[in-house]
Amino acid sequence: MTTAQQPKTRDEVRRITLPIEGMTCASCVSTVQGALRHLPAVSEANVNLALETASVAYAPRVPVIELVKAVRGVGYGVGSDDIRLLVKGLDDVASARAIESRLKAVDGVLDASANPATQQVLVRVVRGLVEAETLLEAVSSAGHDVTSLDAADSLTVEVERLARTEEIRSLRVKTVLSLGAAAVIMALMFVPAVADAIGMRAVNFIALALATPVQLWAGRQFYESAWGALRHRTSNMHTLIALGTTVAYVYSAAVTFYPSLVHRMGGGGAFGHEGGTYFDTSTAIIGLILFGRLLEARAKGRASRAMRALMGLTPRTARVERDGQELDIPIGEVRPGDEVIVRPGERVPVDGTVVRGASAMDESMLTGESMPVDKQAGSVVYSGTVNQTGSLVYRATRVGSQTALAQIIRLVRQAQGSKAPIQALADTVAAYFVPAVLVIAAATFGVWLVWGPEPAFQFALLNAIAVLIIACPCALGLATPTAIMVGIGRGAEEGVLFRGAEALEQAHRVEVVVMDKTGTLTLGKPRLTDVVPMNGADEREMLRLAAAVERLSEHPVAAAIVQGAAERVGADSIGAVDEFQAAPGMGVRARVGDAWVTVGSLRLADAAGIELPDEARAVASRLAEQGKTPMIVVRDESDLIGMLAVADTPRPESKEAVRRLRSMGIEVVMLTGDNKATAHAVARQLGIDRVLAEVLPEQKADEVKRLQAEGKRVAMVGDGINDAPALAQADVGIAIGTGTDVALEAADVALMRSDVRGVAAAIDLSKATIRAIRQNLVWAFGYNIVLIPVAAGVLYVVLDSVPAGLRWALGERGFLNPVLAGLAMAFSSVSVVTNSLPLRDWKFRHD
Amino acid sequence: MKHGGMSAVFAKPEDRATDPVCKMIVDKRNPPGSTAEHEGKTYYFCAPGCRETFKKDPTKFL
Repeated sequence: MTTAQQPKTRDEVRRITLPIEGMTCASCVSTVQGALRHLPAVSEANVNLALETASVAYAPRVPVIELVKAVRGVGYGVGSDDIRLLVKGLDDVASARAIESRLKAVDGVLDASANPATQQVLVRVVRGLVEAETLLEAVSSAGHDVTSLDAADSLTVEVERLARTEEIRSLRVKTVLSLGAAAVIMALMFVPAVADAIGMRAVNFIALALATPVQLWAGRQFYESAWGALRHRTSNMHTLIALGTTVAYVYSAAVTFYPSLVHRMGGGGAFGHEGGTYFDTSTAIIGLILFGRLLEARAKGRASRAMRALMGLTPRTARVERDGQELDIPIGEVRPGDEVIVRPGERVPVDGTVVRGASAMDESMLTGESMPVDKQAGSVVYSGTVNQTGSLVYRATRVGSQTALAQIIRLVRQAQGSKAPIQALADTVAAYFVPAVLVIAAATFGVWLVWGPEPAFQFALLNAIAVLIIACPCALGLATPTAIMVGIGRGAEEGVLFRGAEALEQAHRVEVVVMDKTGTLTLGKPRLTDVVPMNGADEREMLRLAAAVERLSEHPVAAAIVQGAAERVGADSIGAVDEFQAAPGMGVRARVGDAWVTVGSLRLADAAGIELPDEARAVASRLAEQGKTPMIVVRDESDLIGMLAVADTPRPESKEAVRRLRSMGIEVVMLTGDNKATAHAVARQLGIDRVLAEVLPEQKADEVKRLQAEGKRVAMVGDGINDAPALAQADVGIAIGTGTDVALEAADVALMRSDVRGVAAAIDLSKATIRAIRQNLVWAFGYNIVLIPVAAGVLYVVLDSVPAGLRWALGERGFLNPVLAGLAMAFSSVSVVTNSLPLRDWKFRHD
Repeated sequence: MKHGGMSAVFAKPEDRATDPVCKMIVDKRNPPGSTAEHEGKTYYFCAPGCRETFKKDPTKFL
């Protein structure tokens, strides 16, 4: 008997293996299996829990994404990989959209997000199902110059730098030659002596000879891009530039060959163009726009500085010991298990565990923490950190894309490539922008041709060109992503990792910060402070029993009791126990000999219905008022034999962190499982007013929800492991002290240092970034809203006469010179990028 | 054994119930104060007194 089922359709059958995430048990297996088998297209589905895969046979007429949706629909994940592509010349929203939709059409692609600010596309694919080549093919078939950035991660820096350098060099040459040609043409046209000497017709021919290479060679990239868009029935910014300059060029060429055209068109030239040609206009516009592009490319290079700094941290070679010999080998050849040698002053090449030697590492590049961290045998060292004093030999554990540094880079990159919700408006506008400008330009031409002043054709033509040229959708497209990129990069330098643009955008709206007490506001290392035997119990015996029970618990409080007991009565005297049980958030118990011993919180007494004697209550409140956590020790069902107290030391910087947040107008709430009296005592020390105490671990998310129900935007700060549900529930979940373990799913923000002041810094950075984005958007929208009508000639209608001070730009009649339109457009997108650059120097403002 | 005691608190989650009146944890298999039905749900009590209080005005404790 074979278990294979018959295909439900006659289509050919495709077999794939899907990586499944989140399965913990056999019932998960049957759920996932059932979900897949339920699909009509699926003929066979087998889920393997150990491998965490699902082998599926299905009819390929349905896309893989349907299978993915089925798996997700029952609450599991499908493993994905991110592939990054570099698309040269990707700089407007319309092309970005087109590339995204082409990639999303590739079977197995889950998501694609193109970022014009970095010229990168982030493609999320089902792991192992899609080759980078397929993606490259999909993008290059649309006429884009595309390379994969993941081919060799260590080479990425180099590739990106070279690509940018090459782009800048080529732009520089084209800019200089175009502007040079424009200057010569202008000199020929506007110096009367030239025309007098050789005749206007000769001037026009020389101008044609100079303008033609500019149009066809320097302007080629505009044509290529516009043509690519046209083939997909869309348009982009380059459509406008190509159309505007072509109109000026073709009309001028026609006039050069048939001078009589000028007279038929109404005679004379606008803006002093006696010869009737506008070669100066077409060449100057191309030159100026290329110049703008050049400045933009350089500014973008500066904007991604933080990222390049991180990527440049990995050394190229590693010194390893193989067969008793020391060898310098390329970093790509280091394998897990290799013994790697690092001398003082050298960078650690891959992650690993120290085998021999002792030293201190400067890990500031990873954590922002400036104090060197001591390392000895057993310590973990991280790729990219710098060895300070001694030599170390360590065993490589994680290499290549698995190192903490590589993960941080990947995370920052993904975050930089993600889209902020605030961008949605600009994206929507940009989608309609180019068609709208084409319509406005056509209308401008028509209106001035019919109703305009003489020479009507010339003014109609030039105004239409000015409209096409001055319109700048790229400022709209760059406004948000540039600021996001710089902001997230700057955060990473400070050890504040935003997991996405949305997190960066949300953080500035936070009104309430909820801080978990243990491990966040305190060191998370409680100590045993008091031992109070009761009801005639012996102090040492009571402590011994409590420690024996707690030895099996993993809670930090348990560790404190065990350690405290070991110091007081000796580790050897702590006995063994049987049948350990835990009641989360309340306590633990175990059988010691023939008695049950329970250690737990005061709440445990309530839950168990144990009436504490007055003596015990008095002790408990005295301990709590000192900020200590009282615990009860109970024998069997309800015989109180004593109390213990543990206390956790607040972090030295917690008070300052709370003060900073409050000075920013943010309410700080402390959340803890501790009893109310202890919690309030600690809160008082730290300057916190609002305390949510006696919250069981599983209730933390509900408490956050309750605050949100008050209409507040809530950030939750915790260690990211025990608090994961609460972090996920909060508007912004902040995991603290993650060190290099930044890949915490639940957190929107990871603070690599265990310094709660980072919370205020994250919110402040978010505010600074949002401010830059708003300025950029106001500028980008305002620019187009104001200058498109000016270019269309509205001032001719509005102004009776042009003020003398504006004649250089608007001529006698109020029409904008198209060359100035080119200049304005060139600086518009540059200004959006440069306005985002000060974020690079962002520092948390004290007060 | 008076009231629930530690055994109830440390019983398996499916055997645990919270007395709606005094919030004590009760072992469902042996509720010291018996049980009561209200709108199709079963409630467990630490003592008969809690059960009486609950039955007088169940909505007050839900």
